[in-house]
Amino acid sequence: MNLTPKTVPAKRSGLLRGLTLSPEVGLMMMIVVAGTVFTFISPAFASLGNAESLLRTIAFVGIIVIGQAILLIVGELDLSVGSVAGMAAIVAGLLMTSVGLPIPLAMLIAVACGACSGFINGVLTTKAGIPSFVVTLSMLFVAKGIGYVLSGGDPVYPLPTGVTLLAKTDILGLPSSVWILLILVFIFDQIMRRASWGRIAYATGGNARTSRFAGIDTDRVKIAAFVLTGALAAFAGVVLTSRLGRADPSIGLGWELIVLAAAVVGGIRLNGGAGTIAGAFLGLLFLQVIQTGLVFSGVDAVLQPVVSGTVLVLAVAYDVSRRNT
Amino acid sequence: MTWVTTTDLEEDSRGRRFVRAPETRSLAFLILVVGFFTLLNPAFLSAASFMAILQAMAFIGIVSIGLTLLIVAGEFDLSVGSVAALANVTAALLMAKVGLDPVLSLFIGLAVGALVGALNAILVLGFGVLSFIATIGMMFIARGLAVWLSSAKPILPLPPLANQIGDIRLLGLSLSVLVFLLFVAAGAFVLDRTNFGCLVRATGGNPEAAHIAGVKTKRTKFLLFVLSGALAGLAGTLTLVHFGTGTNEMGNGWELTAIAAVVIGGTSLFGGTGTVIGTFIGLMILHAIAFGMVAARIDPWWQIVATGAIMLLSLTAEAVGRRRRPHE
Repeated sequence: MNLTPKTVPAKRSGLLRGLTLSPEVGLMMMIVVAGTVFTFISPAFASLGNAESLLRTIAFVGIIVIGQAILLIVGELDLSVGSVAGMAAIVAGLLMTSVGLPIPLAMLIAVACGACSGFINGVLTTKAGIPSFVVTLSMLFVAKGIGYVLSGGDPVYPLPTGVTLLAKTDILGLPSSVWILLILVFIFDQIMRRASWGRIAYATGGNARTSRFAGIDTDRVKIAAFVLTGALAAFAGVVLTSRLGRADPSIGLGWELIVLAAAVVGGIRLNGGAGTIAGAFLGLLFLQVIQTGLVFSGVDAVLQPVVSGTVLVLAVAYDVSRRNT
Repeated sequence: MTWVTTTDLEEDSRGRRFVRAPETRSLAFLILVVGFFTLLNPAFLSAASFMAILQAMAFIGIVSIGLTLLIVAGEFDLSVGSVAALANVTAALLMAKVGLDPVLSLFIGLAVGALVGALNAILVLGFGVLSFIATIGMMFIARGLAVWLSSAKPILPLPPLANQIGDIRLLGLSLSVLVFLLFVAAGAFVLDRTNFGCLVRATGGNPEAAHIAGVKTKRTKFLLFVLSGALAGLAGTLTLVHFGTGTNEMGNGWELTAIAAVVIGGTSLFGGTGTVIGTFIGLMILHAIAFGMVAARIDPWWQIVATGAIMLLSLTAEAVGRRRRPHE
């Protein structure tokens, strides 16, 4: 069993070959090509302002893509991420208003709630042997319901003034929410590439049976990935709450599918064992570039889902055909 | 795998088979739920609320039948809700704006559903895309097309004939409920009693073995994808005549509720085993909870929590049962 993930460029093949083989380079080229085409159609597309707004838009979902990518790499998936984000937003909002806790503590507890739901997902999947697809689908309902029950369906508003500090602080011309995303992507990309836990995660997803024989506690690896995904989902909800200055139970509606689409377009394999965090991030960026570009090109905004869906299907069909040849 | 299970069960007595059947567990759940809400509000147990629940189940129920068959064959269709919206909007536009004959428009709506089902099948069977992902893609595409075609607005008014079709009642049952019950009976019969149903279970239980045994697994799956799409189209066109308005928001979230119903009904998501009656009961549990909570004046948001909790309960029950009888 080859424990080296295929998509991490192997040193033996030389730098150039490594670069051309790495899916990240392919994605970057696709993003550049798409960006160039859209700039030809509408020169305003290639502005710094637009680049900033692109990054700002994907900041929240992007945080979750990291967790989902790691979870897919270990061979599982989480459909509850959007609901957990919404639940965490409400928990944080209520703790800092009705309960009157300090803002950082309220946010921390909300993230802990997300980690808890991830832990439940993980234990039910690994120990009870229920497919993660249905476990997390159930959690989707539970977390969403809790968010709505706690808030009565209404946004929690107004929040204390300091709440926007987390996401809206301007650092070097970019809002802090974007920095949070970029830093998290970098950290987790490095962990998955270089740290031993990353190797163990790839091994678990690549072949769980062999990994167990090699002495890896695959259940623990998977539970850890679930906890991380839950925590990151909750954190995304908290960051968006900070951005909006209001906690809304509808935060995260439909995110689970966008997150999956981004990870898959970014070269994460659904059967586990392959893909990188940077790739998943670029996948999300690519989807957003296409969406924004189409708006700039005057395509009706309601057609955006059609494009996302087509890109998703084409990307996967391409991936499948590449693997089969 | 499944074949062995079936013969194993046949050695059991009729009674033991009944007790062990997953839909028996769902039925027990349903009785518990109904009992609970009747205790909270005795008015809950009435013919009127039963009829209201049936009506509320009808549209999503038609979709769930196709989905059950597909899941038993080992595939998924997450595009059903969006396809219902696309069929709804297409038929509405054809009859209200193009001026086509309403009945013909409804059939075209249904055909659009079948066509999307065929596309799903080609992506999954022809290109090897996982059905889970292919149908998520299709879900985005169909929803986007529905919103775009309708210019994001309701489509009104429909020709009188469409509304007359929607008003059809027989034995006190509305057209949609009649169609729903008809398809439940047909689906249950096909899956449990026909040769084709046996092929479906074989395909889902062990595709390789089924293929070697001469089952045309791809053709079976293709038919089921088309069926799932067509039933989604049927549900969409029925909502159109029932509510009298074309709307692109129809079917939002149906895919998740339908899967929840399938799971609660005891169908295995690994494929190979499952029943249409189980799905029917699962869907009824979900709707009984929804109506019961209103009757008991419980915050309706709890209903979403309950959906998830009951799914987890039935999944855990199934997992525990599997562990206790490992030979199955």
